[in-house]
Amino acid sequence: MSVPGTFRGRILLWSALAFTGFLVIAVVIPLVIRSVRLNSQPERTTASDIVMQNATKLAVEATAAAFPAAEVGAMDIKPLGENEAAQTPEATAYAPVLGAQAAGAGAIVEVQPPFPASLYRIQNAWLYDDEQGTRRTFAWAGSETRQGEPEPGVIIIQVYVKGSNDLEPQTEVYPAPEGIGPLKVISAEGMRLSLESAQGQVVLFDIAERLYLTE
Amino acid sequence: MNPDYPRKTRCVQRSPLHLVIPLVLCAGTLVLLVSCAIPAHLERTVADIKARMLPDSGTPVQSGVSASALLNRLFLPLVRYDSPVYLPYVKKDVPTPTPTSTPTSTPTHTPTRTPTPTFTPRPVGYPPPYSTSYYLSTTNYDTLYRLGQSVGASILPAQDVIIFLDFGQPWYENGSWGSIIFGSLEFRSISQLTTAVQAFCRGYYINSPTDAHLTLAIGTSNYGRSYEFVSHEHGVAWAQMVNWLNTWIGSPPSWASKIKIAGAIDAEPGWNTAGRTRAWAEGFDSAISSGVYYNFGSCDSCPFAACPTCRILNGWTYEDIWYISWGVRTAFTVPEIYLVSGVNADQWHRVSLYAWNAHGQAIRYSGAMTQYVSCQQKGCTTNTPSQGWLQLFDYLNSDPRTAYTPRWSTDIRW
Repeated sequence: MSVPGTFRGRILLWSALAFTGFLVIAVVIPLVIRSVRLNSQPERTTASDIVMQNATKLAVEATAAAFPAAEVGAMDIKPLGENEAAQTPEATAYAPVLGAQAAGAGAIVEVQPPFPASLYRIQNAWLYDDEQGTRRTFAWAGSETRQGEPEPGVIIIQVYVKGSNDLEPQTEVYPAPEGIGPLKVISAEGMRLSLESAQGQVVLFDIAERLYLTE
Repeated sequence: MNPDYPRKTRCVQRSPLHLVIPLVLCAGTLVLLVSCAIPAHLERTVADIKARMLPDSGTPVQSGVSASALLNRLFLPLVRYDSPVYLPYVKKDVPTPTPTSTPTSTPTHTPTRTPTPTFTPRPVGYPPPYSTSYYLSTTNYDTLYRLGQSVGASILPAQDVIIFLDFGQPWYENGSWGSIIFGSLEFRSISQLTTAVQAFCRGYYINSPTDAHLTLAIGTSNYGRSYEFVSHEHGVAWAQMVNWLNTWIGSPPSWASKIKIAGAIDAEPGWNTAGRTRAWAEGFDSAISSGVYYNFGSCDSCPFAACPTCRILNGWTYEDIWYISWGVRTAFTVPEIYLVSGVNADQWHRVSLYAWNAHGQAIRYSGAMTQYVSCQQKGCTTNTPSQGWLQLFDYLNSDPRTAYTPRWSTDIRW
């Protein structure tokens, strides 16, 4: 008699387990998912919200595009503001760059390049100031952007002369030797840069000669 | 339990109920789940369909939507939260949930049309005369004043232009927000940048035609690999600078009929996370009272015809690109259209198509940015201003959903 009793007990146990599973799957999990979604989405966007947002957008666009008519008889020249009169003149020499990592005759920096990523993906740069601090040379290292294709390495040299060519620095582009991918400056010795490609190849570039070198 | 009872025999004697009861319960669970989940999805689907069927005027479209068109709309990606939510019963023959549909006609990229030499109303599809924008490595008052003068002198009567003055990456120093300018890599506070912009405006105002319109976009970027200065607070500070400058422009004697100041950000997916860039955009939007901002960034690594499965860098999504370019109330875009292959225009067209699908409104790009003049002297190959504008125009207008004529064309110099 003990066997059927045990069997009935097991059926009850299985049923209880299945019912608990049912409760967890059918009730608890949906409730948890719902509460997480509600918490992460405090405001529910409705169709009318979207229409309102799109209409608002067009109104803002129209305002941004509109220019008021010129005021008749207005004086043309504005008086000089206090901030304009009190401006401090710019330094005549380049200051050392904070946070730059000394390398050879210059330093390695990671700053925004004046090139868009649509043209060049720049990894970092090496910069060098002459003794007077009025001439700064950048060597930007990276790759030419080729959407969806292997990107060839490149070095772009820029020379800024303080107060002379601020709006149009001298710029030269030096494509890396065939088969070398995106470059990054890793060290320098004097004016000679060591660059590592994304594939682990090391190439040298002489800033003074503007030449890639073989070791 | 009888220890002598053979184990094998016990198993054989189990009732079929042992299997049937759990199976019935699991089936019940499934039925309950399905009955709960599908109505919720349907509710969202219907709401989205309604949203897409409403034109900009807000009048519901009652006719002209066929049953097949309605069915097709069911399979569009549904954007409800920050990422697309797809229906669980998407048909197998639907190619892909990402908006990668190609233009119906292949745009031609031969630059046969050139900008008109003098300002006259343009026929549709003809590029506007381009302006020159600048990456700035100085905030010197005299230099900016002279730059404003030369720009003003180059503007044609009644011409409408946008000019970007890019002051570099966001920064915070000595209790002030500002940016690191190019070249010298020196910090310039918001106050110093404001003064530099005033100098430019003075020079421009004196030398420009009385009926010309300039939108001057003061640019920063989302660059910041190691620093967290691309932030909500920086966006707020940038907006406050724009507010102050617009107030100054409008103060007597008002120059508001000729000059309008806007913010700008060179937002590139490769330069920072979408989260920080979104924070900047939201900060700007929360503080701006007079003006907007223009994103003059890239859609780097976005999908295009030859690479429909390309993934945007840094985990950015179309939703992120859309959000900072158009989704934010005061966000507008002058995208970079540099590559002669037309890839950039293709990428931005797809973003606009995504916007139409997911938000019921295509992006109305304010213009196209190129980098021709600088590139010409440095040996790189890139679009001329008219080529860039035409590529964008052709891609947008190859699809009625995204059709639009960008207002401006500008070429940025490094």
